[in-house]
Amino acid sequence: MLFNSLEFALFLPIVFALYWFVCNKNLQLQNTFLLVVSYFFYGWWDWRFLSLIIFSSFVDFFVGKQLGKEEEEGKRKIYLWISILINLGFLGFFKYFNFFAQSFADAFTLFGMPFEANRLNIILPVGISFYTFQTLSYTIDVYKKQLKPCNDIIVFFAFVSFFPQLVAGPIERATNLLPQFFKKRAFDYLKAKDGLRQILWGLFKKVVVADNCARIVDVIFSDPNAYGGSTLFIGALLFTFQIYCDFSGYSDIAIGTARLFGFNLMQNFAFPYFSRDIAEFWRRWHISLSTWFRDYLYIPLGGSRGGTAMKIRNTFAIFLVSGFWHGANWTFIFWGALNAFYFLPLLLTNRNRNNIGVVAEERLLPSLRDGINMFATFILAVLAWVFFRSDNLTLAFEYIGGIFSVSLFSVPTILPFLTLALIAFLCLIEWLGRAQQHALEVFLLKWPRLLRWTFYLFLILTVVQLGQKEQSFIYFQF
Amino acid sequence: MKSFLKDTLLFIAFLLTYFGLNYGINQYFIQLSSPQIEKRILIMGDSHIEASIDPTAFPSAISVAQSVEPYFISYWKLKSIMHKSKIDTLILGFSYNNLAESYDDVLHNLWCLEMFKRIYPIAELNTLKGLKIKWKEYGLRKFKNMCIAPRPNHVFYMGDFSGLDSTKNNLDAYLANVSRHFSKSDGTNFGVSSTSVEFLNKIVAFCQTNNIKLILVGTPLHEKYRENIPSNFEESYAELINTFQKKGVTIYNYSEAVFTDTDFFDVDHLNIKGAKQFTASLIRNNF
Repeated sequence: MLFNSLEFALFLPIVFALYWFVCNKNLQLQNTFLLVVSYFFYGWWDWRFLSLIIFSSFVDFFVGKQLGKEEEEGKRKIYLWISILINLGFLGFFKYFNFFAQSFADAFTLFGMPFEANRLNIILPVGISFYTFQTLSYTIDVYKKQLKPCNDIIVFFAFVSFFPQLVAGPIERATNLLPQFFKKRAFDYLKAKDGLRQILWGLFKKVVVADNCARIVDVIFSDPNAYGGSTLFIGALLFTFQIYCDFSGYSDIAIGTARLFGFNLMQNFAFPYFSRDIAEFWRRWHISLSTWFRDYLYIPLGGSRGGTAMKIRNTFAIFLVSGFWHGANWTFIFWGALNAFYFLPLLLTNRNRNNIGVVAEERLLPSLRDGINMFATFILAVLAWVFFRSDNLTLAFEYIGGIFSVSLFSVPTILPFLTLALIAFLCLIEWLGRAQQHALEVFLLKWPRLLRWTFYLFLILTVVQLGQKEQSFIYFQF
Repeated sequence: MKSFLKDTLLFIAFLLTYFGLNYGINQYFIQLSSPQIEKRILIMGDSHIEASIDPTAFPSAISVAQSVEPYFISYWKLKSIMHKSKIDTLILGFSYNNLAESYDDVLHNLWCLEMFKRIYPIAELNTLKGLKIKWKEYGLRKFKNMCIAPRPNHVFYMGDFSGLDSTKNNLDAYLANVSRHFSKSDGTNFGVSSTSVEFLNKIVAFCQTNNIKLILVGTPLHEKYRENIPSNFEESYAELINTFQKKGVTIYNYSEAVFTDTDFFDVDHLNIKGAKQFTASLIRNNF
């Protein structure tokens, strides 16, 4: 079930009403209800893949319990590896089998031993990368004794499959989300209202901005050689906003929905395009994944301690794995590597934590220096996204080559004024709300109700009027 | 929770008031803008008629034909047009494909969004029995056009004569044209659409009630097209001609009229040169 579908518009109020008016007396009943509706939500796509989530949940519930009982380090390690191998095994099979098979075949062909790779007709289960990482975080935290194992099977299964964030995150840590299932949830008027505002803003980002950008991006990226540099730049720029609005829009809807049910999910995007350097960008982009890799990969590898070589190795490790997580294609790996190249100079010169706070805090406009830094960081991100979007590396390099040509200074053949105006509006609202958890958190709250509602009405009208046919979210494929 | 529900319901009421106001205004605009035709002859049908009959050749005629128009839409259009118009003759397309079940799918297949855009002010979808309809898309289209903002123009169902390029000739792809009309995706043939026959009967009855002379016209078809029409379909077509003739309907079937390759745009549409010639012949022989 897509967040931007009529089905979800019916599903949400029904589930909300049953949750607060029928199941509210009993926490166990509320949790069971959440589990059932989460499975229903997921099964709407393909009920067959429910078995995978259920199996993964069983494995990690069982492993968690064993880790809680077992004191002997060797056996604890075995349990941990059981969980890692099963979870990553599923992920590897469904997501990466064909990639590895083809890559091996290509490598052998390159060395003069051609053979045909056996590709399987595999359907990627929606959200597998997200819930796999979420359950893994639980097992690792229990293994590290940072979290007590969960003894309530309903709670654990509901934690793994919690419908607002099941399909595309945020990838919640067990330490944050799991305890919330054990607390009696009281309805919070302000939280729920804020949740609705966040859902509305997420819908605007996804349905209005991202989907309208997508129409043009698809045309330009499908035949980049047909366009001059300025049009290619427009294409890359629009994809930059498409990917942001698509994914952060999903996160906004997920977080807002969870708030309606009394849950707090972590912030997943903190206005990344207002970053002043790449390090700040990565602290603000897909925060739940970045921090996951930081805590479970980068720090165990040694983090930024040790010598220069180790720093370089660890930085590349985290960015390459992050790229590979996004998809089984060399374009994603290159995108990860490119970001590592962007990031390394900052790390090696100890300037990676220069920009921690909010840009131009308590000021309307940034300083000239901040403005230039933001612009430069943004352009680096735009260029990197070309690799993310392209079908293969050759096309990506051709695309970049096409941008940096004389025709960059010609009038673009595709100049979508409406979409650019929507992007300008988005940037304005996000800029005004950049110090908050989401753009509409305090925006207009002090205005008279009628004016505020008129603004919400305007957003709803643009969602209905400018919305394209229900489009899936990009990150569902990851 | 009470405050939340109160605020939410108030906001929903605010939204509904806005949407309702727009709906009311647009309903008024629909009535205001329903077509008023000052001509004697009305020409209706699908792309065959749209491309073949040039209304300017008649002393007083207008074509409102549109591509992929099944009879049920023609019937709704006719009713809408007759609210404010005085027509004494209706020329309606009557080719083989007008009766094929392929037209039953237009509210469900790739054409549905275009169809919903045209028909939302005049549609009586509840009168269509057994047809597949994409209700969600229809509802959304109607909602967008009626509830978001006042729109003075809601008439997207009035077509026109469109003379097709006579420098292009697409006769080679004749099998695709035939199969589009008569073959299902599984390779079997479509039958005669009971809905189309039902609505053609309704048009006949409507014309009799309103003293309109109904003329059914089968436009010229290239022999490559004719030869590939399924035989069962030709039989049904012939039977229907008999049935309607008995009801007093005038039928001019030009599907086998001799036209040269240079008169066709493709195997089932005349080009502008062919259309001029056909219209002249139609007027000369019948009017």
